[in-house]
Amino acid sequence: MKIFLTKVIAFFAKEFHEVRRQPRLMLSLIGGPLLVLAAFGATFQSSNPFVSTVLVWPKEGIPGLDQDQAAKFIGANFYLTGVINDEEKAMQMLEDGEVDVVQIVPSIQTDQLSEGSRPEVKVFSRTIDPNAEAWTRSLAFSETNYFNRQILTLEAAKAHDKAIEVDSSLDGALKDYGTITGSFDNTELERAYAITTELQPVLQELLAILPPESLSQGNLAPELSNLYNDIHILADDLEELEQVLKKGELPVRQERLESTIEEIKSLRASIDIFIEVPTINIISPIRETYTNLRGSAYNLVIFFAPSVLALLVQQMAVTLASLGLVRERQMGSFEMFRVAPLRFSQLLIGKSLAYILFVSIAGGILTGLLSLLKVPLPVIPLDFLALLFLLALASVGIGFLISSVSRTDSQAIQLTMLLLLLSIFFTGFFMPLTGFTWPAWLIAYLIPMTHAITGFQDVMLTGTSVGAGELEGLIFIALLSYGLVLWIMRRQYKQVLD
Amino acid sequence: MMTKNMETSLKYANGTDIVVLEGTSLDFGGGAGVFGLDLQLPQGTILGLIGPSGCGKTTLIRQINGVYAPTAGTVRVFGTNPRQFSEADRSRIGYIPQQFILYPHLSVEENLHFLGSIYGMTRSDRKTEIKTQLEFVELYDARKRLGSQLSGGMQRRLMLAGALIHNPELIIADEPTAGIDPILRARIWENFHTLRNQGKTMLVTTQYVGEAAYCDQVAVMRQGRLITIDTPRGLQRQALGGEVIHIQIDPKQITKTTQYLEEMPQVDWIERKVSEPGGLHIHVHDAGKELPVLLNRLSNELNITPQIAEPYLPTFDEVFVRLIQKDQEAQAEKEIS
Repeated sequence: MKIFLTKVIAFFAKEFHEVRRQPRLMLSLIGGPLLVLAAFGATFQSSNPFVSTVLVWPKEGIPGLDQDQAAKFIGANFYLTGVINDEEKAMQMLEDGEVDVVQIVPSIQTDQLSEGSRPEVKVFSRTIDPNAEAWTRSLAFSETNYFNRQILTLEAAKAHDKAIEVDSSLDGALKDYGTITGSFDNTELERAYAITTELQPVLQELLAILPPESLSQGNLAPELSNLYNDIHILADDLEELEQVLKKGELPVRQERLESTIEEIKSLRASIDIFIEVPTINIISPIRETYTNLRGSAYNLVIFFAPSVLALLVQQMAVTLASLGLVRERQMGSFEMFRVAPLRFSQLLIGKSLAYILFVSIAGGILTGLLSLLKVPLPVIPLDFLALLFLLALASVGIGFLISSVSRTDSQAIQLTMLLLLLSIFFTGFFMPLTGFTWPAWLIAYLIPMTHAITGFQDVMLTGTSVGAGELEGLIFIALLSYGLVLWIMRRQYKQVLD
Repeated sequence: MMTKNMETSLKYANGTDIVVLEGTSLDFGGGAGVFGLDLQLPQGTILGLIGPSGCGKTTLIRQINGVYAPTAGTVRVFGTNPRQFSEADRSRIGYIPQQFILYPHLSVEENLHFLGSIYGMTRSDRKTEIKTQLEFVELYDARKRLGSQLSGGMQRRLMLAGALIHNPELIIADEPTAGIDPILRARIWENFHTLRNQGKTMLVTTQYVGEAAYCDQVAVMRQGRLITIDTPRGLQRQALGGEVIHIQIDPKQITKTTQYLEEMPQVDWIERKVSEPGGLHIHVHDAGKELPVLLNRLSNELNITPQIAEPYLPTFDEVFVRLIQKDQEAQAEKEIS
């Protein structure tokens, strides 16, 4: 056992001295990434795509929509270069690449809407960037909602005014109906008929100006729903009353009249409620409230810091280990090792211990330096150390695996770069894993960084302990990669010997 | 008290060959490899392997240290198949590969600590041996220097110290003098002689034909075959087909002298030296014995006194060229027949 350890320590000491003798390597591995992160923090403004636009607004304006307010709303998310009336000129600007998006708002008149037509806000783009396209479409949808709401607010205000006017007419009609004794002689009959027929168009006018009935669907605006309901009932009643006044029996006339009076009262009550309710409640009955139980989210630099830490530790370990075996092979040291009384496992353990120690120290220093960027320090140091150790172990295993299948330094570096690319796309570093289908998850779970990102976020940002799943994932990767390395290297030795 | 190494040295000193190859071949295909090698390396000798680049010297060495397995024949080192070496067997071999494979970012001392450690030596043993071996190869004063700061000669000497650190019985050195100046080469051979005198056995490959003179036995290789194994003196005899007496006489007397000498039974044949007017190479069985006889006869019977008369020792370059030519001719004859 003592001799076994002596041989293991031989490789540990050798690797440790070699790395120690290269201070620039240490500096570039730790200082470089930290500077990159600091530069990111100092210069980052937004992760939204930058999209410039020109707005084409109708010369005659749009009732209910203020051009300046609309421009302000659009300028909050787009870079608005200007508002013009010339559609052709705007399209030429798009063609010439002066703007990324052209938005053409049509001339909209209230009566058009009443007649059931749906004017279109046309949005044109020439982008090749899927993110910019998704962003533009999302903003266009949001803008259209804004325009709709503004128009509906105006219409609802008009409906309020009309409702007050109708209420007055209903009040007059009630009084007039009250003068009818019930004898229904010719004079009374003519008067009742006149009141009834005068009231019918008033109701139609109100119906025409009210916000769309669809807004009341799903019981989101009961005031509007009740109003529509009462108007329809009264309109039917008035129609029936008109009929019985023409040729009905006396008791029937009396009954219909009383019913109509009751419906008028009911409608007036609904109108009173409708008038009392603010217009915003009618057209936009639901509003959102958002509460972050932690207070607020972190800024992007702090949010990404654990991921960057995971990436750096992984790549540092993979780079060291991927060159660790291939350089020995290129130097010809393996021949000397094979002649010596040495087992490959002793070489592997010795080198691993040195790399893990070095990478863990570097990871610890990096974590300390990250606190200069106001990144919280790990709240559970033991969890953090366990995660750091397992991340280093699994990454060194992957590095050795790369080394065992590489013939030259450049091959090993190429594979390391490939792993870096995979790590950026398939670990949840920038794009959440939930956006991928299961084959990508398979790749993701075989990359140490995937588990480390979640673990570091837990212990540094969320303030909870590292999940068992993350630790188990890293242990699995370590076992798998070391197992494969031993298998491949023994095969390579055997091939030489045979 | 006798150490294990001392016991082993005594055992092989009694005539046991440390390395034995019998009909060993390793065919890489396309004419590459080694073929039908027979070789014995007795304990306490230096065997030099000489041959042009690519003739199979390194392949032979790799069969002996167990890196390659033969496709035919057998290899025995310390009486064991190298492929079945135990860790203890491996500890009895010191190996100097062809290129410098120690670490440029480690100091001389650290490199030796590393090598000692992979042979399982304790720290105190390593410290003692490092001092001894660095003094032996005259690198003790440079012990703190990094590997990258050593000259080519120092690197070779460091490799030698590294191969000796665990006190091996058999030292295998693959071109240890390649690329270094003649003075340093001579010093390395001095080191080898010291080791041989300590009872160690050495197998050394070299491209420098002249270094054959430093060896106890020389094996000449060509195209994967062993042309011959002999002592340096024996090689010279083989190359010249016996021994040679070199004389120089008056060119006017050369025809008469040649005719006279050809009649002598102890003279095998005579070669005129075109480049040297009056120069003759007289091939005999034993130059030391025949030289005085020949001088007497020339003086007494032809009244000729040569200006130069001495046993001729060809350079090893010449020996090597002649042996290779002979082998080529033999191969050609073989192919024709």
